[in-house]
Amino acid sequence: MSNEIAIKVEDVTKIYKLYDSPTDRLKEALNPFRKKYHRDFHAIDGVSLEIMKGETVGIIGQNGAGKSTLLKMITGVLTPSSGKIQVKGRISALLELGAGFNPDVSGLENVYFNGTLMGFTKEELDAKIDDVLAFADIGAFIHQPVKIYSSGMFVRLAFAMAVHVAPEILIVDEALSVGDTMFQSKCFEKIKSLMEGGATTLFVTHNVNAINTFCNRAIMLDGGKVFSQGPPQSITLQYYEMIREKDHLSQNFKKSVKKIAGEEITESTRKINLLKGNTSCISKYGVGVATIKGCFLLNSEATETTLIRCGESFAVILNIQFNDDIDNPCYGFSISNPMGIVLLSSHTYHDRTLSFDKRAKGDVIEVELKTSMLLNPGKFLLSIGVGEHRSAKDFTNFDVVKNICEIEVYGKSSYHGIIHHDSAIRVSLKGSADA
Amino acid sequence: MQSFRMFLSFIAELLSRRNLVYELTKRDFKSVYFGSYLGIVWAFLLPLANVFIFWFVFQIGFRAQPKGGFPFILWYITALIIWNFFSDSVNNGMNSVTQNRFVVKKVAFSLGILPIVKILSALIIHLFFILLVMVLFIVYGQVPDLHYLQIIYYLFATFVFVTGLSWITSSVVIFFRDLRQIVSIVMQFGFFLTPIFWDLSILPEKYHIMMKFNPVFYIVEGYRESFITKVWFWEHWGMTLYFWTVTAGVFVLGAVVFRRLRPHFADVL
Repeated sequence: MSNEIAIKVEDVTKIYKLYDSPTDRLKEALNPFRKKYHRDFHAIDGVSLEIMKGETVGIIGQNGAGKSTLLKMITGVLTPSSGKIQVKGRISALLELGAGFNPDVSGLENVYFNGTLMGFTKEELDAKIDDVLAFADIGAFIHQPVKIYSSGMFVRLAFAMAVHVAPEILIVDEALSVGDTMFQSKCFEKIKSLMEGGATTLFVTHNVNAINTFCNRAIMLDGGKVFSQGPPQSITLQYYEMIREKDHLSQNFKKSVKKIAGEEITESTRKINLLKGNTSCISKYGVGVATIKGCFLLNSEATETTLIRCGESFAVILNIQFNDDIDNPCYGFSISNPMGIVLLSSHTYHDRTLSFDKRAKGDVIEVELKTSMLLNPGKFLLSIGVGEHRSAKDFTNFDVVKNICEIEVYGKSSYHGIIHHDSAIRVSLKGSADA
Repeated sequence: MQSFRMFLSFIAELLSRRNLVYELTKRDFKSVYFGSYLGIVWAFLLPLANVFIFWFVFQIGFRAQPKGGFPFILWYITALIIWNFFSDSVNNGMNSVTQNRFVVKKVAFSLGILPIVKILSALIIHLFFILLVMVLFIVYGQVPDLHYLQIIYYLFATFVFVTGLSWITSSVVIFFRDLRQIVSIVMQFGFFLTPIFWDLSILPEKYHIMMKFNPVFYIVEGYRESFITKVWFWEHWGMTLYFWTVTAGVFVLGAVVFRRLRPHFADVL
């Protein structure tokens, strides 16, 4: 990183003029008296930024925060409504999943066409084309029209093209979320080598881990403004806090809606019964002697949420109704990854030291299962169940509900792997082999 | 004054991208004329079919008299080729930006060259036609003379006029789709109202002045003067002055309109 500024954004605003018809826009652009025909929408509102040469900057923010608009203006495709953008160096950009490819002509033709627009001669492109094709690795498809490409192939080619034109500034907007894991890692390797070569990189992604690993700096946009900027770890944490807050707000909103609708609310303090949410991917089984009526997830502040911070304690609360007399009831939940492998669970069945009371038909109980989140950041699925345990081999499921909801774990991942832990490492010199 | 500065910077920007214009024209010509099986054959077949129909209708059907001793076909094709160049340029130029929307929204470059690329691509075909016409004249026993050089001047005049026009149409059509239909009607009128398959002399004298308002008339007539009637363009300097006044106006207006609307392209496409 040097002290030279690569990108300077000064008080830039992008106002989208919303017109009732395209003709109104024409009338306004050509009207000698500058009559107004539109309503304003501020996609970017007074943003100022300086990005140094060689920096790698991640831009995060929720949908509609203005990330893509900002990048497009830096690239020069969109023109700011006011303010100034200065860019030093050749830009190569992957905007909104890919380059400007003509769907009707072959991938190869498109690479040449885009290369020409970037100012390369045919000879210069001929010299690069082998590297591009080797990197994209889409085989004979390169001679097929781009319209038949899968989205993965499209991004592969676009990315290969973007990184092989020796960019001084590389702009990547969400493009990496499409390719498979192998390709993603290849891309990150390539970005790394460009960074080492002194290229400035700007990328927008929702992949917070990528920002934490790659960027020198993160910028969070919200509502078209720079919300905060600084070290990636703290900005991404802030980002999660913001999502959580908004999540909370929307829950309160839902609550009030429910009240207006006159719907029955069983628990006085808890409102978000996860069983009544999005039920599309839930799978249920069990003999039905007991039924889980409600499931709630609380973080350490007893706020209802599905966002849990690494290391934070959290609780799963179950409301269960018994339809028969049960001697040895047991309760539990498990958290698994999307492949279905259970990573974390808490079951009363395993806890031989505790005994649970017999239950009579008609009982309605509440169970709180509390533990701490020992997983590294990621997205996981919650499953819950109630059953009867008579002996080690005699177990009956009364009601099991799998994959109720997605739990997102956020925070700083300390080490590779799925477990979040603190470790102490000590190195000491024990002698010298040469002696 | 601000508009004028805009015009100058726009032209300077385009001139600095000459290499890009050259590369894109090659590419466009290849994709348009080598994209289908018969490719470049169609580019010749269509105008020749048109010539055949008119020749058939007028020479065989209406028994039109040769104009000043020239066979109808020579007289007609001279005007037709330049009209075709004009009309191809207007149509392709108008669609040049919308056709490339996929790249306009993703890559920043000098968009003003897009219409020029289309015009140059049509020019290549037109040059073949000029050669064809020259061969025809030689076959009919005409000896090439210095007047043929005047073609270069008229070609340049057409190019400037049509470039200005395409800058206007290609940028306005993005906001006002109906322009496409309007232009197609205007071109039909243009074909029949410009003396292409008929001669100005068949009109009563008092209507001649109306015909001369049409800048395309100047070009079409210029081609005939170069090949047939052997008149130099400075011999009717009044018309020349009028044409260049109109053309300069269209050219500057085109550049300013295009430059003014350009920041909005990506928002609308």
